[in-house]
Amino acid sequence: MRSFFFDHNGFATVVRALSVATLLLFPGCDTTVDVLQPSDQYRYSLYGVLDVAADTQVIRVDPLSSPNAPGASSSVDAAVVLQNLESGEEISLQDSLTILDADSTTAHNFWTTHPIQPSTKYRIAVKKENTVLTTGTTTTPAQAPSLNVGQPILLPCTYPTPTIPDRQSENTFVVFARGAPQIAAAIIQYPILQPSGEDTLRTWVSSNHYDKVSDEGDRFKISVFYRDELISLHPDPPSGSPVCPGESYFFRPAARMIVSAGGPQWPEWQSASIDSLARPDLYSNVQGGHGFVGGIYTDTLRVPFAERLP
Amino acid sequence: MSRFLFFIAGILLCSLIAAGPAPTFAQDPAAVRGFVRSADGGQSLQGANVILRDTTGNVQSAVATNADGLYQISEIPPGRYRLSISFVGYTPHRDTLQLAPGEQRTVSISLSASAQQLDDVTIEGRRPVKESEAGLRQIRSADIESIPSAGPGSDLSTYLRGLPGVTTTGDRGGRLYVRGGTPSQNKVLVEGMPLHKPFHIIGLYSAFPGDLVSTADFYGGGFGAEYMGRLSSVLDVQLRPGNVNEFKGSVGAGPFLALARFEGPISRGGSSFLVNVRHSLIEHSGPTLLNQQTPYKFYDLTAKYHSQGESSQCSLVGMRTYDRGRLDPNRTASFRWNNTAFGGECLLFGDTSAQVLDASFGTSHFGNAVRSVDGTTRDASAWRFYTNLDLTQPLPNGNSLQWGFHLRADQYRLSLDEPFLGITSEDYFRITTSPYIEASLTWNDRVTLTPSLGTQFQFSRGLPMLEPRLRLSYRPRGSERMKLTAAGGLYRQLVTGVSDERDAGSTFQALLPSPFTDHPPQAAHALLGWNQQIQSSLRVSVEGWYKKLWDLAVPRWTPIVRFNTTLSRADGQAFGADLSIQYEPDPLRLDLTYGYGQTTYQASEDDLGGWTGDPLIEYSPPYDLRHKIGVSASLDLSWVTASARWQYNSGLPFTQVYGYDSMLEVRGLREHPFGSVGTPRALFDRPYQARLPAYHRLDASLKRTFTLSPLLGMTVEMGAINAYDRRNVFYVDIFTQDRVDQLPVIPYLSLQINFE
Repeated sequence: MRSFFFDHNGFATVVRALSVATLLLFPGCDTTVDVLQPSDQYRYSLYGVLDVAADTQVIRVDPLSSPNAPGASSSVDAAVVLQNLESGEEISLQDSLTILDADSTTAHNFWTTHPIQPSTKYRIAVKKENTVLTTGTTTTPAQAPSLNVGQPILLPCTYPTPTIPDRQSENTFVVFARGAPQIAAAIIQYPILQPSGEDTLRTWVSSNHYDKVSDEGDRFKISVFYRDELISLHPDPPSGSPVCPGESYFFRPAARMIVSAGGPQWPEWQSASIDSLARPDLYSNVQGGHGFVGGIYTDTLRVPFAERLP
Repeated sequence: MSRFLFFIAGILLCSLIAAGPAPTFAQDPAAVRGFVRSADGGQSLQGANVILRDTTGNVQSAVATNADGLYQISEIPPGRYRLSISFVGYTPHRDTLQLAPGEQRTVSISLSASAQQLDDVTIEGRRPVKESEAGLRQIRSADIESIPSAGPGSDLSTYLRGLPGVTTTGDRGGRLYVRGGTPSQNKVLVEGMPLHKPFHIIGLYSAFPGDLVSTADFYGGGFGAEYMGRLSSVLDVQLRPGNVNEFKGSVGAGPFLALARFEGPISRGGSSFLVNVRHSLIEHSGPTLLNQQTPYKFYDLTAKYHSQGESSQCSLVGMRTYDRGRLDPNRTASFRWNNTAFGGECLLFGDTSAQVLDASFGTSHFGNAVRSVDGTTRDASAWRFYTNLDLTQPLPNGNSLQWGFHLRADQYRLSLDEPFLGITSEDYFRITTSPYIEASLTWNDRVTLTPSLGTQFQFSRGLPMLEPRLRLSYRPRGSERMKLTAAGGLYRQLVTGVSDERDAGSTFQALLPSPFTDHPPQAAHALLGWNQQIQSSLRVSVEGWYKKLWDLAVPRWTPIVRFNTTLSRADGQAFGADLSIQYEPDPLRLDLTYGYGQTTYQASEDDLGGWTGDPLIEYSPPYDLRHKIGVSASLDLSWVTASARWQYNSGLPFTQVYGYDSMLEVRGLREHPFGSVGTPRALFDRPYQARLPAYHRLDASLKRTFTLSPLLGMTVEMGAINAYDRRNVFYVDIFTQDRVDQLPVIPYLSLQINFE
C-alpha cells in the first residue's frame, strides 16, 4: 500500500498543496452565528397618533434590539416623553406592558392623559440616561373636520335581482368632510346587539372606510357601502340567502361615523401596499428608529338608521 | 446571437441533407445494431466496445454502447465482417457477419461474466478520458458505492452532495443548488419520468438507492436541446432492471432506515420485475442514538417492470416518495412532501429502418406543504402528464441525427395561509410542446460537434422562442489521454419555483408559471473543460463555467415575516471552476475535488422594493457557496472495504438583522396600540450580507460481505456520519433566532441479507 501512495511524488505534491489550501480557507472552529447585529442608527420603533380630541394618547414603543420577537421584553429600559416643541413643556409617558392575544404576545404601550393642543408641533422622544435616542415629530391639525351626511342608513337592504344586478348605490351613504388638509381615518361603528349565551352584549363593531375617501378639492367624500358589511355583522344570520340585520338588531338608533383630520405632514399612503408600508425607509417620521407618529383631530357624526320606503 | 442561430440552423440543415432519403429505402449500405446486456441478470452494459473488422482485420467501425446498452453501426458496405463485442469483466463475443446490400442486421447479445476478470469489475468506474463531456458527470453504481453512507446500501444523493458545483443548504430539507441555479431549475428524470423533489428530508438519501441506479447522467450545465424546460441542471437516471434469470432479494436495516428488495424473472430471459422499498427508522432510533429528537419520516417505493427483446427494450416504472418532518426539532413547523409518478418507456427499432425510436409517457405528481408554528398552512402541488417521442437516425461516418417531440400538460396549485395577510389560492393549467433536433458530427475521430436546436411553445403564451445549444469536444492528435470540451447555449424555463428565502431552513416550494409572460426566465451557459489522463491511474479534469441569467423571478424584499410570493424580476450571473483529481491505483480509489463558485443577482431597487438607495442592487442569494473541497477515499481489500469522505464548504450567506418590531398600521387608524399585535418585522439593511460559519464533516465506513451459503450472503457495514462531531449550523431562523445544527456524530451499524 505504501508503494502506490508514496511513489508518486507529483501526486503527493498535489495533496500537500490542497492541504495547505484547506488550512488557509479555514476560518477557525468558531461556529457561533450572530443573527442580531444591533444598530446604533436605529434604536426604537414608535407607532401611534396624538389626537386632539382624545382623552388618552398611546404610543407603541418597541426596542429594536429586543431579542424576543415578536412581543416585548419585560422592560424598555428607557424613558418616553411627550414634548410640546412650541411651549417647551415635557410630559413623561407611562409604560404599560399590554397582553395582546391568546399567545400572550406583549407590547409596551406608553400613554398619557395630558391634553393635546391643535395646530401644535409635538415630539415623542425616547431617552436613555438623558440622551435622546429616538424621536417622532408631528404637528396636530388646526381643527377637526366638519362633517355632514346626505342620507341615513336605509333598512332593509336591497339586493341584486335579475333585472337590477347592481344595487350598490341604494345601500350607500355619503359623508362629506370639510376644513381638513388631509383625512387620516374614516371609521363607521355599528351598535350591534350580540347574543352571548342567555345574555345579549351591546357592541360597537367598527368598519374601516379609509380606502373610500376621495379628495374633491374643497372637501373629502367618504362613500360607505354598508350592505355587505351589515350582512357579515348579522348577529343571528338566517340560513339561505344573506340578509342585513333589521333595526331591531341595533341598540342605538344611529351608527357613528368617526373621521379624523390628519396633520399637515400626513403621508399620502392611501393606495400603498402592505409591503410598502413595512419598508423601513418609507412613511416614517421617526429619527433614530422606525415607525410613524401622527397628529390627528377627530370628530364623530351620527348616521341614523331609517326605514327604507317602498 | 442571430449569427450563432444561423450557424446552428445551417449545421442542422446540412445534417438533415446528409441524412438523405429515408433509410427504409436505402439500397447499398448495411447496418448492424442491437443491445448488449449482461447474461447474469439482463442488465444493459453501457460503454461496451463494439468493433466491426473486415476479413483482413482492418477496423471498419468501432462504437460504444449507450446507457441503454444500444449500439448502432451504419453505412457499412455489403460484405463479410468480423464483429467483436467486449466489456471489462465479461467474456467477449465474436461473430462473423455476411451483410447483404441494404440489410439492417440486429445482433443483440448477452455477455457472460468472466471468472478470470471479475476483479476488474471493481474498477469499472475508471473510464477513459474519451467519455468526458462538458458539464457532464456520468455516475455509475460503482461511483456511488465508493462513498461512505449510512446503510444499508448506498444512495445517489450522498454522491451528488459531494460534487463540486453542487450546493446544499444542510443535511435536511432535500434541496440541491447546482452551479448558481435553484432547486426549481433542476430537471430530474427517471427513465424519462420527471420527479420534482426526489431527495429525502434527511439529505443522505433520495429516491435512488445506489444499487438500483444503472446510470445517472448529471449535467451541471451546457446540456443539449433534448432536455428542455430547465435553466440549471439535469439529472437523468436510468434504473437497472430486475434480474431476468433468477429471483433475488435483500432485506436490511440500520439506524436510519430499513429496506426490502425483491426481483426476478416474469418470463425467463425476457421480462422481469423489481420492487424496492425503504422506510426510515431514524424517528425511532434517533432519540436513543443521539439523545435528541429526530422527527423525520420518509419512505420510497420503486417498482419496475422490464421487458427486453432482440430489437426492443421497454419498461414500466412506478415511484412513490414521502417525507415528513420538522427541520427544527424544537418547533412545531412541520414540512411534508411527496412524489407519485408512473411512466413507461420503450426503445425499439424495426427490421427495415435504421431509425431508433424512444417513446415514453406517464404522469408525475408533486405535493408539498408546511404547517407553521402559528397554525397556518401552505400547500402547493404540481401535476404533469407527458408523452415524448425521440428518434435517432444514423448518418454516415458514425454521425447521427436525433429529433423529438415532447408534449406535457401541467397543473399548478397553491394555497398559502399567511398570518396577518389571509389566504392566497392560485390554480394554473398549461399545455406545452417542445420539439427539438440534435446532430452529432465527428471529424477524424478528434472533433465531435453536437449542435441542437429546440423550442418550447406554450399555448397560453405568444410565439415560441428558439433555444440553440452547442456541445463540442476535441482530442488533440486523436489522443485518448487528453480531451478539451466545451458547451454553451440558451435555456428557458416557463415555470418558477417560489421558496421562502428568509432563511435556509425552509424547504417548502410553490411552483407557478413564470409571472413574466413576455420574457420567461432564461440563461446562457458557457463551459470549457480540460481532461487529462496523466497516468493510467491518475486523471485530472478542470472545468470553468459561466451562466448569465435573465428575468429570474425573485421575491421582493420585505421585512415582514411571512412567505413572500410577491415576485420581481432580476438578472444574475454565476461563474466558477471545478477541479477534480482521481487517483485509482488498485485497490485504492482517491478523489480530490475543489469547486469555486460565485452567484450574484442584480435588480433595480424599484423592482426589488429595496431600500439601499442604490438604483441597481446587487446581492448574493442564500446558496452562494464560494469554496467547496471534497476528499474521498475507498480501499477495497479482499476482506473488507473501507471508505471515507471529508467535505469542506465555506459559509453560506444569511440575512443579519439589526432589529425587530411590530408595525402598527396607523394608516386609516386600522390598528391601535391597545388592540393590535401589529405586523412583525425583521429589519435589515441588505439580505444575505453575512456568512454562516464554514462547514466541514468526515464520514467513514467499513463494509464486509460474508457468504453464508451459495444462496445466502450478508453485508455488515459500520461507520460514522460527522465522525469528529463538528457543530455545523444548518440554519438560523432570523426571526426567532433559533439555531438548528446539522446532524451530530452518528455511529451506525447496518446489516443486509441478500438471498437468491
